[in-house]
Amino acid sequence: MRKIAFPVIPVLMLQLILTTGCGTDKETVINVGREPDIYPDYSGVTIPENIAPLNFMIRENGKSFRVTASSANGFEVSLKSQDGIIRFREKSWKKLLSGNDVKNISFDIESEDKEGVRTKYNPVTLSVVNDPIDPWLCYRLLYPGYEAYFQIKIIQRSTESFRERSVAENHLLKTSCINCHTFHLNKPDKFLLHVRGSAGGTYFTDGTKVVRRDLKTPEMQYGAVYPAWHPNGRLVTFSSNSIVQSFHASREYNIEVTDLASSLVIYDLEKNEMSAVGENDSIKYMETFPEWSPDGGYLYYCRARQTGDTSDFREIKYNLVRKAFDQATHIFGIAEVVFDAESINKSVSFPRISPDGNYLVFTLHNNGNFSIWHKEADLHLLNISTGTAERMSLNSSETESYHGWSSNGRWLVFSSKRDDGLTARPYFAYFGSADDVGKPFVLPQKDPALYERTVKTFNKPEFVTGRIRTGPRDFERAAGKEAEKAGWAGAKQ
Amino acid sequence: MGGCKTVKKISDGQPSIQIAMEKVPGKNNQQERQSEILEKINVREYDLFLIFVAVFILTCLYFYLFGSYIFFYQENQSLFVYSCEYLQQFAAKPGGLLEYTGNFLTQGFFSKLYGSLLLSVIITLIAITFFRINKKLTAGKQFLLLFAALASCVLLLMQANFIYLIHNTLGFLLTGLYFLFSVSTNNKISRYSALFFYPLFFYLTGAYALIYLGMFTVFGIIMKKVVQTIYLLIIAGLTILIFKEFIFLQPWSEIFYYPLPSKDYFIHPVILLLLFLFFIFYPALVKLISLVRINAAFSRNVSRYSVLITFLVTIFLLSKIYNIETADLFKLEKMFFARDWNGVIKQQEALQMNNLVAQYYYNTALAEKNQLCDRMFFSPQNYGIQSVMIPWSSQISISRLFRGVYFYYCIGLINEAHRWAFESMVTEGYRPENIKLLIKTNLINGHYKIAAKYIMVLKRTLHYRSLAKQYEGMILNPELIRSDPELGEKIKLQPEGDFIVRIRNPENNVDLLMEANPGNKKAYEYKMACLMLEKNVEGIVNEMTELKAKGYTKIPGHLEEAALLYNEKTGFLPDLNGFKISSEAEERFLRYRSAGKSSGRIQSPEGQGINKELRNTFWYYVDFK
Repeated sequence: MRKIAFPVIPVLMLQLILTTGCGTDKETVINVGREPDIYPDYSGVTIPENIAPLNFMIRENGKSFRVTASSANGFEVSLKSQDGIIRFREKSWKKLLSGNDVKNISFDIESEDKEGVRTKYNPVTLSVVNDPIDPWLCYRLLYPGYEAYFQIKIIQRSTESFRERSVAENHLLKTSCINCHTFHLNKPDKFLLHVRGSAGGTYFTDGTKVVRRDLKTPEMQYGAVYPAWHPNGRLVTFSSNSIVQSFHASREYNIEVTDLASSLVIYDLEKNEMSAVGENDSIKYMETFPEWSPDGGYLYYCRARQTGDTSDFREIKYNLVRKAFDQATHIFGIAEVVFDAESINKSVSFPRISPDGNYLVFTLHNNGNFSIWHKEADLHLLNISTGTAERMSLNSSETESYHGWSSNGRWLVFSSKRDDGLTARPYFAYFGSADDVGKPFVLPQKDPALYERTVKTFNKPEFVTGRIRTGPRDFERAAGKEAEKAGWAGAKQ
Repeated sequence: MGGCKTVKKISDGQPSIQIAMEKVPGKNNQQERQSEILEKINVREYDLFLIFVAVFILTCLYFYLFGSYIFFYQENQSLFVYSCEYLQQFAAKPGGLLEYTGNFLTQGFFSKLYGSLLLSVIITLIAITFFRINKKLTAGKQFLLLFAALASCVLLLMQANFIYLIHNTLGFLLTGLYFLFSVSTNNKISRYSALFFYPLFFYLTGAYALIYLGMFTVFGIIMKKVVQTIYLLIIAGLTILIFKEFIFLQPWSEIFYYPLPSKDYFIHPVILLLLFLFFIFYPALVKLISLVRINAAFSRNVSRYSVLITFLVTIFLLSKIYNIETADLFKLEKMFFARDWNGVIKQQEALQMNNLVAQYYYNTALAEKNQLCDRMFFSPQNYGIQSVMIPWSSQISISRLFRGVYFYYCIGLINEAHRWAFESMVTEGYRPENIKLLIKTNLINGHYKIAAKYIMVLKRTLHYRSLAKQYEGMILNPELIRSDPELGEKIKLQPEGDFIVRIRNPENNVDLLMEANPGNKKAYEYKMACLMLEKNVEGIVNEMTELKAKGYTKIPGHLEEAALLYNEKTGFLPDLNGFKISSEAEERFLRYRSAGKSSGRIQSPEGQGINKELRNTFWYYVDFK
């Protein structure tokens, strides 16, 4: 027996050594030849060098994941994750983006399954530009839609980090609706917002001071609604609207917000006076969404023919028009059509002009003016000097609506419902030129799963050049005081 | 003979008391007296034990046998979610953690045994706590038992109200415990530590800390602890100021009231005021009563009888608070939420409740089973079309209106059902019914990503996670939605074209829906139900030409009745598109008319001569309702 056993044992041992020594399973790397599915989608986006870390989730199968982020400046950071959630440390992220020669960064992503098989994906590449984004973003955070005014906040969020704090909270304002936060030239210390309800009024800030004013004079049929600051900071144009909200029965639609009537008024902050922006046209119009040119010489706005009691909301089409404005005399010129949306059976809303005055972005949709509830709403870019407009490449198949320019004119922020069709998220897109618009990316969050969880919507995103110093308690104190009533100065032209 | 003289301090509530006295000659009177004391103490502890047991049993029995409907109601008022965000919204305000704890405990209320035992424990703890407070406040012992029972009975009565939540009772328990802590020690450092921890107590219990403040102030005045009281008032003032101005973003109304019981839902808000005053002035009450001197011989009996009277009064008041109609209504609602339509129909037809909500649920259950036109008059219909649909009003709290969502869901107006559920979620927070409806309406509408958000919420609950997993499976395989009996049916009922929903006149939506989806049989049933409730006989017969097109194989019972009424009035039958009135209906109509005539009271408002079978008809409704 011993003679037989002797050669068997070494053979068995040799076999054991050979099989364990090869370790072919652990060495197996599969290159799938495509980029990984990550959320948010940061593949191919253009980002500023001062953006907060772009944390993301890897939506691939795997027991563990490894990400190596590298940039042209030679810096590299490696991260491991069991659940696919990738969070960069702010310090490491800043190093990744620092340096003027950084043109892009890439994420090399690998996953490993429980058998030890590694899957390698094509790198995800992001372009980095030297044009910084404004350091703060201000938006309204609320539940999307209908009538209840609970849990509405105006939030300021750093674009360079994850810091955020409330500017105003409606439960400190008798659960009134807060809306239309609008900044003078993106400045943090000069803005206004409306409060609707028992703490109602228009609240103007100046540094840390908050003043509550009642802008609706007896001469006005409706209150002041959508604002636009004149570049001089002393005048604010408002539309004055009668608004109704309706609800669709079909699953294809949701809410319809329609004006029954609207006109433009102009408010003098120093005199605390309202006056009408006169209209000499024999045709009665509904006028809304004012926007000033950067030099203050033109007032742009949206205009539709006045509807009747039995009008179908689908027939309401807004054109983009403008009027010249004499800054010395405060007299307006004749209205001229800038973009005739009606002729193509469409409607325009939210005209916003770039800081250099060359371009205007507007939202185009089928009808009406409340584009956030229109799935077909898209952003269009108008060249002001040539008058030509085209659909922007940053659009999706869902709603793209409210938008704004950064103070340097290099970035656009806009509301997009591309994630789920219901809740809007703030997206940024680089604007190098009309032909150089970067792929947009969503405002990064510390927890990249936040957007998947929350049903709240990020409404009316606005760039701000610094931290807003007023806070919820300032508005609460102002709400406790009597509103200063505005006077009426008559019609301008 | 002498012996060791060992005296152990009599400890309150401790069962064992040992006093061994020297047998000293000539001291027999003292020994006898001490034996009497021993006997009294043992008896008193026995009484105390009985009181606590009685409180426990009374609470348990009441809620298990009678008041269990409050568990169903309260379990449906909130959804406890195991997530950081859910915790954060409570941790961000003083008193929030108290409500959070209450919500945590409430999640088990789907078991009435659990609910009864839980409430019994808490109420008994109240009794024990306030007994110990009484011991501290007074040297007299006659009414200790009374006050042990009184505080707990007051809160038991409050807890018997379905709108009074468990965290409210917990708040009073914590207030009592903190007060006991404040007055329990003679050590200066320990006494002042109660002041030191006041900010923490305020953060944990919110406005209950103000109840405590009131209690201690009253105590301080009575016991002449002026300095301590002043310090407490100063600390309380600073706490409120610092919390308001620097730490928490809460309006003054919440700082001073949250999370005390909400005034909005009490018919007599003065009850709340009395409740708060009872506890705030509790030390004064105890002190006042203790001034009453009773002969020692009668003391024990007075004590026992006062407690007995308290219990009897409590039982009497409980019997007044218990409302059988409310209990029946919640039983009906429970079946409704479980979509047990047969159970709803059976109960309402048996009990014949005149309550609007009961009739609404009954009608909706019938509509879900396509039996509105067959059976709706088998139950009272006292409210016209309001018993089938509820108009929206921004002026009325969604909690009162929420039931209106079921009409829209039943009929297939899913967008509108979603809107009602969403508004409820925004204003009332997550509740089982609103989250379930949000999931279902989004699944039906094909908004899977939105449905997934709500499913994630439901998955993080104790009681509903299996349901969440079921819905999750549907997202992964949408074919399961179409094949689901409930959801698949609703998909087919939806309008094929669009229209604007009439929120203030919901009956108009029925016509619009019929136009947008002619195959929607439920819309037709509702249309006919509205016409019947309005007694519009001509309108009914005009619509009866649609019966065949809607897929009916015979005329529903009440529509036959309408046709016979029309025939009686006009002399001819309406066009029934090939259908015939059954001979049974004709015979029944003859009997109905005969019964009315023979009773001689055909115009009587109640039609007493008409038997039950004939009262369950459209004819009876037209003639007498």
